[in-house]
Amino acid sequence: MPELPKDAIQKAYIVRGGLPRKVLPDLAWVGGCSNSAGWPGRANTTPVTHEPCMAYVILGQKTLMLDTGHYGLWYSLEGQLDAMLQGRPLDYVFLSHPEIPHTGNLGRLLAKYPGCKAIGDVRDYHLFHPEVALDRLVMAKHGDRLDLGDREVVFLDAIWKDLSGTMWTWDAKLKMLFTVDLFGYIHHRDENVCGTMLHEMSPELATAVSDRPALPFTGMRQRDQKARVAAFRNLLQSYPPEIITSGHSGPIMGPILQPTIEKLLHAVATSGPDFLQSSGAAPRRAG
Amino acid sequence: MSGRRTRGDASNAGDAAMTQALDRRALLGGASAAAVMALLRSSYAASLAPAGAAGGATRLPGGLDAASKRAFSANQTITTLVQDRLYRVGCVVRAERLSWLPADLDGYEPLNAYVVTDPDHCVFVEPGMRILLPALQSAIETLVGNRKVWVNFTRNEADCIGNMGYLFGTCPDPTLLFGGAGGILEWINDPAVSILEVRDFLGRIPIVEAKNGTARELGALRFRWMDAGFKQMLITQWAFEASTGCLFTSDAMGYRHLAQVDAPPVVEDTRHLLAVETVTAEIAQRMNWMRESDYPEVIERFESVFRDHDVQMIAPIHGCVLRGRDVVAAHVRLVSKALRAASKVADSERMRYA
Repeated sequence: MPELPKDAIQKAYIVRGGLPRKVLPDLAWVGGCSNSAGWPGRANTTPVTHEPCMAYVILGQKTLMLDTGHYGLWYSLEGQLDAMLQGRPLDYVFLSHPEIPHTGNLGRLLAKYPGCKAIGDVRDYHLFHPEVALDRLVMAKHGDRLDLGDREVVFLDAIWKDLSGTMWTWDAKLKMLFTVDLFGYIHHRDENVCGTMLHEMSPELATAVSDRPALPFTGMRQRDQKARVAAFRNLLQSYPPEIITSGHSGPIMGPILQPTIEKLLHAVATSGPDFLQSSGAAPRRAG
Repeated sequence: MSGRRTRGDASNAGDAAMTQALDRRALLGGASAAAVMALLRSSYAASLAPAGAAGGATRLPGGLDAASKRAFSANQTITTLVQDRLYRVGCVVRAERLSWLPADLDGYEPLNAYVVTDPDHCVFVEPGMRILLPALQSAIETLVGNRKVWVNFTRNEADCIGNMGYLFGTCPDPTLLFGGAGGILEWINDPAVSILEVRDFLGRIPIVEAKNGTARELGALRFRWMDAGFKQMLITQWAFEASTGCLFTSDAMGYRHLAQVDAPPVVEDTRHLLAVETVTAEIAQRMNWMRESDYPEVIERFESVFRDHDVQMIAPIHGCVLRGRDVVAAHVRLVSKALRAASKVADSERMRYA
C-alpha cells in the first residue's frame, strides 16, 4: 500500500488571515483557516482547503473567550489574543465541547492566564487535562448565566451537536448567538476571504461561500430535521440574534443575517447541501 | 448515592458554587477505605511528580498531595489480555463527571489504551486519555524494546489521541497508521517542548494509510480497518486484529463498569448481563443523534461486523474489556436490542425548545 505523499501531509494546514479583528468595540474575532477537519475529504467532493477554525473574545467588564481555538493554530492565536486583550487578563473561556479544534488550547490558555477559569459542560475535561486544577473547570448547565459586569452570557443546550454535552451561548448585550458547529462554512472557491464577513463580500461571493455549510453531525439523514429546525426557530424567538458566530465562520450580521439563517435552515430541513460528511471510507488527497 | 453527590448549584454560574462540584472530597465521598488508598497510591499528580519536588510540601512516594485539587486515577496498570501479544493499558476513575455515563452511577470506570505486539512490532492502538499516561509510560518502558513502533487510533478525539504526542515524541521512529481525516499531526504536541511552544510533527512522522476496508500484516499481526459499527462522530473507525480476535471499538461497547476500584477491568463470563434499558440509556447518551432517529442500516452494519469476523474480544476505550466468544456474543445480542430501543428515546434537545 503506498504511503500518502509527503507534500499532501505538509499541506495539512493553510492559514490565511486578516485576523485578529475587533469586529465591534467589545467583540474580537480570532483564529484562522485550516484544512484540518475535512482533509483529505471524500473522493467525490472537492477537498476542503479552507475550514475556518474561529474563536471570539467578548471584551466586557470581564473578558470571555468563546472556544479556545484550534490547537494547531496556537502559534498565531497567542499573538492575536495579546493584540486584542491589550494587557487585560482573560477572565473566562467557554468550552463548547471537547473537540480539539474547539477546545484544544485549554491547557495553553489556562497556563497563559493564571486567573482564567474554564466554563461550560466540563465533564470529561479532567481526564484530558489532569494538569488543570479542578476548581478552574466550572460546570454550567442549560440556562445558567455568567455575569461579565456589563452583560450576562447565557449557556444553552445545543440543538445540533456532534459530541454530547455541546453548548451554545447567548450574549444578552450584543444579542449574539454563538452556535459552535452550526453556521460553519467551507470556502474553497476563494482562498482570500478567511478574515472576511459575509456582508463584506460581493453578493455573488457571499452566496458561494454560504452554499457549502459544514454540518459535521452524525445522523442528519436518519433524523427528522424539520422538527429540529422548528426547535431552532423557537430558540430564535427566545433569543433573537443580531449576530451569529460559529467556530467555523466569521460573524454573520447585518441585512445578510436573516437570509443566511433561512438558507441554512432550508438546507438542513431538506438535506440538500453537500454536507461536510466524510465517512473516512474513501479518503482523497489534498491538493 | 445522593449523599455522595454534591453537585454545585450552577444556577447562577457562581464560581464558588460551581467549583464545589469537582471538589476532591465530593469525588471521594462514599468510597471504601481500600478504594481511597488505591486512589492515593496511583494519583496522577503523584505519579508524575518526584517525591519531595521543589515548590511543594514533601510528598510520600506515590502519595497524593493533601492540597492537590487535580484529577486523579487509580490502578494505572498493564493487563495482559493475550500472552505476549495483547495488553490493556489504563487506569480507573470514579464514574463521576463522565459525559457518557448516567450521573447516578455508583462505581468506577476503566479508561483504556491497548498495545499489540509480536517479536518485531509494537502497535499502540488508541493512545488514550491523558490521565492514563502513567500506565502508558510503563508500557513504553516494558513493551517496546527493539520493536518497530506503530500508532493507530479510531477517532480524532481527546479520549483516543490524548497521549499520541507523547508516543511520537518518546518512542523511536514511530509510524502512524492513519485511516481518518484531518491534519492530525497538527492536533498534538511534542512532549519534549513546552506546551506553550509550537513544534509539530508534520514531515517528521511517517504516515501509512489504514483506511476502511483495508488490511495490513505487521509480522504476525493482521489488522483490518472498517467503518465503526455505530458511532458518535462521523469519522470513527473500528479495527480488528485477527491473531487475537480482538475488535477495537472506540467509544462504543464500553457498557460494563466496575463496582469496586480494584475490580478487574475484564469481563469473562455472561453472568450479570445488563438490562437492555441500561445499555439503551448509555448509547443514547453518547450517540445523541440516535434519539428519535431511524437507522436500520447502522444496526445491519453493526451486526455484520460480528458475522464477518471471529471476534473473541471487544476492546473499548472506556468500560471493561469483554473477553471470550460467548461473552462477545451475549453483549452483541444485548447491544443489538439496545440500538433498536435507542431510536425510541425522546430527543431532549428538540423537546427543550419545543
